[in-house]
Amino acid sequence: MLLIAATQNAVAGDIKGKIMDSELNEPLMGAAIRVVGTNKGTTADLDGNFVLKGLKKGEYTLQISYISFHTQTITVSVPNKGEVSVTVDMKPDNKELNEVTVTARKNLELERVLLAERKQASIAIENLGAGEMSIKGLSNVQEGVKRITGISVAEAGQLIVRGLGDRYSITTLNGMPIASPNPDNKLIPLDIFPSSTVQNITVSKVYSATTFADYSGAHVDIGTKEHATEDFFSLSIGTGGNSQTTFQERYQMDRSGTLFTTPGMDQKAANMSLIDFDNYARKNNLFETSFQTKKYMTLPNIDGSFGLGKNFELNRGTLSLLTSMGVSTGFNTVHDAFVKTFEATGNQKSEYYYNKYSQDNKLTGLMNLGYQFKKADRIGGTFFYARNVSDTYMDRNGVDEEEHVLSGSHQTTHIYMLQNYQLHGHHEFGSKWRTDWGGSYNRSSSNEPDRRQVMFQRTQDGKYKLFTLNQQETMRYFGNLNENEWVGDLKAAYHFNDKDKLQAGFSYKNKSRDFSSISYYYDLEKLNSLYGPFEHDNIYNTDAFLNFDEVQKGNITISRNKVPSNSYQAGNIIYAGFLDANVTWADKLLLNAGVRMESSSQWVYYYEDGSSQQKKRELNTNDFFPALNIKYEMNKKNSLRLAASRTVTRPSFIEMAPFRYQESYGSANLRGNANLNNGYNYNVDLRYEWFGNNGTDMIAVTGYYKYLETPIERTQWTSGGAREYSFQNADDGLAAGIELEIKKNIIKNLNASINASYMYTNVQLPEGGVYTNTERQLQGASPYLVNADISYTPTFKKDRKLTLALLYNLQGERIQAVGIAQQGDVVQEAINTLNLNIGYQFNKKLSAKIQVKNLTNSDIVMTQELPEANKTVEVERYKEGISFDFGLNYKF
Amino acid sequence: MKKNVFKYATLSMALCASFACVSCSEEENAGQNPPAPETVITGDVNEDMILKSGVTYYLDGKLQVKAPATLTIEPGVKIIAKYTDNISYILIEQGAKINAVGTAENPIVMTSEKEAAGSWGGLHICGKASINVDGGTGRSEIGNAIYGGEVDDDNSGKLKYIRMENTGQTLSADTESNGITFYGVGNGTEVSYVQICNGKDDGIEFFGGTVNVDHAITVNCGDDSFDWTEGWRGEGSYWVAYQEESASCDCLIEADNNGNNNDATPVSCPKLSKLTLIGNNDAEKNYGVRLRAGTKVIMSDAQITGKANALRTETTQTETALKNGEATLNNVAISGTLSSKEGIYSNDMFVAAGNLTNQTFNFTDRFVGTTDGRGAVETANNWTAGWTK
Repeated sequence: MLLIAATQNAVAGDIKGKIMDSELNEPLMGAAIRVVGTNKGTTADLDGNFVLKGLKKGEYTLQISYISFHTQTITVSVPNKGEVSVTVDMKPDNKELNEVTVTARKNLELERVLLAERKQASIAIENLGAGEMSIKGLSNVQEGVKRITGISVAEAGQLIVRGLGDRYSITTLNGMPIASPNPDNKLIPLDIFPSSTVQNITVSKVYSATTFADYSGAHVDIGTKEHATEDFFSLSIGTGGNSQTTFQERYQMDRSGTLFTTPGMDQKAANMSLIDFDNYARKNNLFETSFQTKKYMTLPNIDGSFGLGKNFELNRGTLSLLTSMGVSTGFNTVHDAFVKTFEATGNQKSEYYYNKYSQDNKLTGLMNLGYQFKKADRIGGTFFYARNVSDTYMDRNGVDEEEHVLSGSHQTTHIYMLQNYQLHGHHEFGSKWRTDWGGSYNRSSSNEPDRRQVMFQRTQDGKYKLFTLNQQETMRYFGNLNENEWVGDLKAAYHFNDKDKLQAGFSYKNKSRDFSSISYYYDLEKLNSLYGPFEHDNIYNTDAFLNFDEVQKGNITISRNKVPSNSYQAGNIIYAGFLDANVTWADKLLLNAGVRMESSSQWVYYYEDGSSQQKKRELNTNDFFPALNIKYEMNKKNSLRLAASRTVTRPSFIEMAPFRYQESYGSANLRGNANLNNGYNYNVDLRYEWFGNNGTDMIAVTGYYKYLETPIERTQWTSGGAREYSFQNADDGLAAGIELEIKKNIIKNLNASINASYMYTNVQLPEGGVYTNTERQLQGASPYLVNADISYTPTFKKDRKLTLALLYNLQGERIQAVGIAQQGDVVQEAINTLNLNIGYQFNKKLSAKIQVKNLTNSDIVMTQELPEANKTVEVERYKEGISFDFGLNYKF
Repeated sequence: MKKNVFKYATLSMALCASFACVSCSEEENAGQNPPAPETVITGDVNEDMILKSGVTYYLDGKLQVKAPATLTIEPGVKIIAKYTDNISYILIEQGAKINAVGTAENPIVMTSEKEAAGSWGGLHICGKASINVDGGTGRSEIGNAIYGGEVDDDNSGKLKYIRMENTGQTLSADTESNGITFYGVGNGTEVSYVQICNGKDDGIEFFGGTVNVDHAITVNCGDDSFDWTEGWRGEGSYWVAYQEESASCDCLIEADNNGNNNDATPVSCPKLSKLTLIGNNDAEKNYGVRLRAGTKVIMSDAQITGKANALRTETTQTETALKNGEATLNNVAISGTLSSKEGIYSNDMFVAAGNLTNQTFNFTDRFVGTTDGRGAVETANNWTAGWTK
């Protein structure tokens, strides 16, 4: 079952070979092998191996090329049947870096290949391949992008690029936009993509007219794995733990089914009239769960995945299949964390301590089917599926603003789901015309089913009673968001020669969203007299009183809260067209200039407070987005790049309409703004790049300046004294910075890289707000970020290999929440993290890895300055613990 | 069917609006179609609107009055909030007015279809008087209306002989509605003879402003009976807060200057007199009048009982003001003793100023009775009779 015999062509032979770096005596992964006079070709794999299949008997000339190596030509004679083996020693070309055109597709997982791609690209990019991710133990795309210059990840997976928040970036999957199921974020949570499904990540912080224009920070493209050369089948299993989690106690509220199923409730009850509901809820048990909380011992994390790659010779072309599936479950516990709030003159308003027990369950599937025609044409399809469940139990003990001593028990389950179907093709007509087309359908959802909370108040005599001050104290919540996105894309290019081309294209994007939520409140007043006073243990053991029996007896009343304003529908349609040209002069100057036109129509159907009449907010704009990217190659090693562009930042759906919105129960109250308009960004980037001859060394220095015209900023006001967030076009803002990146091969097999960025951001807000500072740095922006790593990857005899990597990250302090009422901003202090990754390959088939993350285990601390009281207070502190992972991979 | 009701409602609203515009007087509009005996009211009110005597109005969702419209409610009008999934409330925006004047015999009643606390969202009035929120304005708890400004004599209309029942509906995941909320309401507004009973949240809350309220009574409001914050500087006299022993209620008065900044100016400093405040003796919710978060007060002629801590002072600012006389307590009688959190002000100072501690009170008919000028309702002059519950 594991090894499916390759389809052999009876009258054909194969060439098997190995490409070596003659100087380092190492396999040369990524080298391109072309059969001269045909369109056949391939790329050497991780071990330098390649196979060319289905060649008729005869003499063939193979041309082997790789950047910074002399191109070699060898002649091979292929027998009638069977295979012939060759070994090719490639000599580094230290004088001249060859520009080679390969018809064979490159292996875009490899660091060397990606570096070459980066060097050659007509626009400035940074990239990270599966190879490097594996060496550095980066387990998903989020961990990957954090290693890229100027990028950090704030709470809830918000990507911050050059100090610009999530709204300033876009994510694409194989070049096609991908919708985010998280309504608070524009970008899809990047930890949804495990490394096992990723070929590479390409980040471009400059704009080219060929892509959608709604970014100024970065365009993050995730390339999914595709099948390269040899068929394979591999299995991985892993286990791990965390210093403050594994084998320690863990709490979890009653769960119906497993984390692979989505908890539900009686849907009839959710939809009937309120009067009918009251009767129905007394007689029928609406929910699948209770509020009972159980104690468990935390087991180690486990994960498993398999990958299968297979080529089929079909109708003279090659059909390649890659499929991978992964599943993992992991635990994380935070103990004795606290959150405090203060008023401006220094008095503490509230404080609570909490323990948080989380379980994350991830399921991913990727299938990539590609058909390579005999010539360069190819078509392919990709299906990607992901389901991320995070299940969190929290117990909180503290004192609220009115000095009630409270103990709460909270259970939250959040399910993100994504299905993405893509079809894409590449066709060449003669030697001049090339077209690329693609289409995708994306279906994503974010569900928060059966959120539960029970609140108790500690009484004078140390006992407990159910806290009933507000109706919402003991409750359930169900939130549901669905999003659909269709994308169509067509590009046609006329190539004047190798480098000069004119390209035109058309894109269409249609996205729609549907959100609704319902809460159920429990009136428990009668239980206090029937069953009270309660013991502390009753916070967990609730089944004896908080049960359906009491509902039937009338001692518990469940009421439904389903106000119209807790639902909205929204959509966005964009028609876009672009023209883009690449022109070169004297092989020195490459000019990429383009202009894109986008006609965007964005709307939200919503309800105002207390209204049953749906309202519509619309934002229709037609804009031109020019882009200029100039590359000046001073010589083979040094080049300068200049980029300038105008791009757009559109409001998100919830920001552009004035309805009250909470992403989930207990999170911040937001209310959009009906007058909110697009922000426009004017971007200038200047980069100097130096690439060494060895294919690994490089230096890049980048300076950038962004003028933000009417940027969209989150602002605050008070609604009945409580903070409410809204969104406003600020007058203007700016972001400027300098970035440095160095990659260096120190000695054989020892590589180091460092990147650092310093950024300055500033935004001016209108006077008259409740916020303390009218001028400040952008929320979430750290003034400095540093990444450094060192990796040692020696090969011992035969196929034994070791990889050792140490990764360091420094994230400067940043504004976590903007201060109001003369209180300073809440600032997250600088964070240092250190990870260690050790991998060992025993032989061609078996490899193992050990990983230790967050070695320093420093506290995450938030502080707030109180200028009126002339002091700085600590408002939040917690630890994440050190985590360990151990994994085995076996290739069949 | 619901849609038809809505159409009818807008029609009748338009009709009312035209009445006011054409006649601009109180005379009967003979010859016009009188409104149906049962009418649904909902939506935004952009032109003057009159709710007529003898008609029962069903409130379905919001009734949000926008400047410069006036909502006139005639004596005896009953407004019943429908039992639906939506939040039903009446909101008077800045620059708009409410003119709701009932009589002791024919009070205006605002209640709900469902006989339970928390069934509808109450009355919200936004004015242009000053508040102490940074930036000078705030937003109403529901309806997203702006309040606060510089017009301390702003006039939002007149309320008299109004009884409100069953307020306290959930407005958001963490807020519930008060009975009446005054947001930056100015002292050109007249408020007297109002009752909130059986509310789930506060009875009457003031967010800044200068409005004066006399003859106010709250009965069994689930949170605080009276509440002020954000710099209220009006006058209050003849106030009754009554909490039955079986009812779940919090403070009798919860008084803040500003919870986010105790030093915010203008500082809350209402002038209160003739108060009868009776708590439910709850073991946990045991604060009666709770002066905190920097508030000042000029209080006189009050009797406070039914809470273990009938009078409680908190924060440096509040207690310092009491100590140095910027805030005063005069002719106040309480059960038990004064409890001070900071120890700057003390029970001894309270007593030294001529106030009485450890008092027992004998009320008839729940809250009727005064001693030496202390209290809101004299036996000889029971102003609550007839129109309250």
